[in-house]
Amino acid sequence: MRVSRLADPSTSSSATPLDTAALVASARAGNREAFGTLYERFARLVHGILLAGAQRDDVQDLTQEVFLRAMRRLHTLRDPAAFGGWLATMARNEARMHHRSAKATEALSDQIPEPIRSTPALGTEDVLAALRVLPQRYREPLALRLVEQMSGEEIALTLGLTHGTVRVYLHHGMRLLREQLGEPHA
Amino acid sequence: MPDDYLWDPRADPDLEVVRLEALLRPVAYRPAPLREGAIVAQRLRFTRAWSWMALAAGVVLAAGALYSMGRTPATPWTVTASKGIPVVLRATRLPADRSPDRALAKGDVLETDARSVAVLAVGRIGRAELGPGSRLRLLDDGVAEHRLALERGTMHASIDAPPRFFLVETASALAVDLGCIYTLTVDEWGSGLLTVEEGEVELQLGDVRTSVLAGNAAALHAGSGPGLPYPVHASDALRRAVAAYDAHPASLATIDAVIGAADARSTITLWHLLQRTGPAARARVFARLAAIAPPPASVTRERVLRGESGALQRWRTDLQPAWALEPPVWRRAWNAVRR
Repeated sequence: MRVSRLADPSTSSSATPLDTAALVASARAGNREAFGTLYERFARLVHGILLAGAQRDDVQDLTQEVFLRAMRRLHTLRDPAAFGGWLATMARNEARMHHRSAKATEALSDQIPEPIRSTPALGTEDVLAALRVLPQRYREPLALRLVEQMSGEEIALTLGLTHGTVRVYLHHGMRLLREQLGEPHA
Repeated sequence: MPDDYLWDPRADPDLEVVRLEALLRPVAYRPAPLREGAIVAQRLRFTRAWSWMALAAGVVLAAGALYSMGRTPATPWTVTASKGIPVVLRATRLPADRSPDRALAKGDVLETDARSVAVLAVGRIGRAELGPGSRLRLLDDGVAEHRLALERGTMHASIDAPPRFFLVETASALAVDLGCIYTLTVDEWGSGLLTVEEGEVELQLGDVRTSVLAGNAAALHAGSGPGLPYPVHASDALRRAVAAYDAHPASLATIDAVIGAADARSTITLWHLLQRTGPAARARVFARLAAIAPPPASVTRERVLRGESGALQRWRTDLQPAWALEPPVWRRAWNAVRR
């Protein structure tokens, strides 16, 4: 018994799993141009997942790392059409490892983070910090939606979730994000 | 009803969401060429500059690790006995392992007898406690998924991982973790019960999908797979009705019993029943569910009776917030510490 394979989270509306599978097959045969196309299509997804878990300054480099690792391990991918889900898992692992190594150098604190108080000067770092303390199931869809501008449908396909679940995660996540930012509910 | 902006960026803008998008725009992905050489060179420079320091640090860390080995957190797939003497049966031809510190490898089986309880470190994503009389096999410990098979017994899993990364096969269904804590009990034939404490688990058998959210349970049935989910605090009448329906799903009497016993706290049961019944019975389920929780305007009776997936999912979006009964904050904090 296997879980159903994820569909393609491509950033191109015309892309299909078949396109991706063909590109993966071509890249496996050594066609770097095909891999370059896969990179262009999926970089936004990987970047969004990393941003939800890793330090901002490192995300651009980590995105490259994930793709280089994917390139080296492409032969281990059993189902070429599942490239998106496979890549997303790799990005999550990269973020987890990065988070763990970064955490080891941080000063420890017993304090639970206080909600950020809403001020007129609320900035990018404030919102990003608030996003990162949300439970994982909310922060990843929200990062993909608010930062990477993916639609709910694309997120559902990418993460292998139902439309209903993604809607709930997005709306509940927004509510938690506003709470974290110290803002009243809409 | 048109989609909202949070779901579809092409819909009418929601100013609050737009404001957050604008604030986050500076950290969005900026297209850049894949620069294989640059990363490799950067890594090499790092390696040269820090190699001696890393070596020295490594020696110190190794000494520290040796000193504190008995107290360090479990390494991936380590088995510890919390009671009795659990056994690891090796997939290779090595003899059964009863030593106190051992780790499961792919294909290995962890077995507990009637008096033993084992705790397994599930990779680096959580832990699974295996109750007495259980048998658990490690099928896949890879980067794409962690997959176990619970062949019999009880497993209490506490997992912090991306959705659909941690999977547990049983003889009657596949339990797909969507980020949660749950207890799964099955016998050799696959009959058993799933109870979710935190988050969500999806039970799958072929096309049948059962979403079990925190505070809900679902039976597993040998041969027919996942039963209807129901709240753990459901009335005895609803529990009996669900059990009767699971045993005789084609019977109109059992469907009516579920309809009659369900209330505003058990819309999760009715929504799943809606998906499983034929057109005739579906009208009765629709009437009851609509009376308890009217569907959104776009979800018409006709669409539901036709079994349109989009309509059912849209209705679910409105219903789902009432399905989950997450544990109190102190309990979640305690669970996080234990994990």
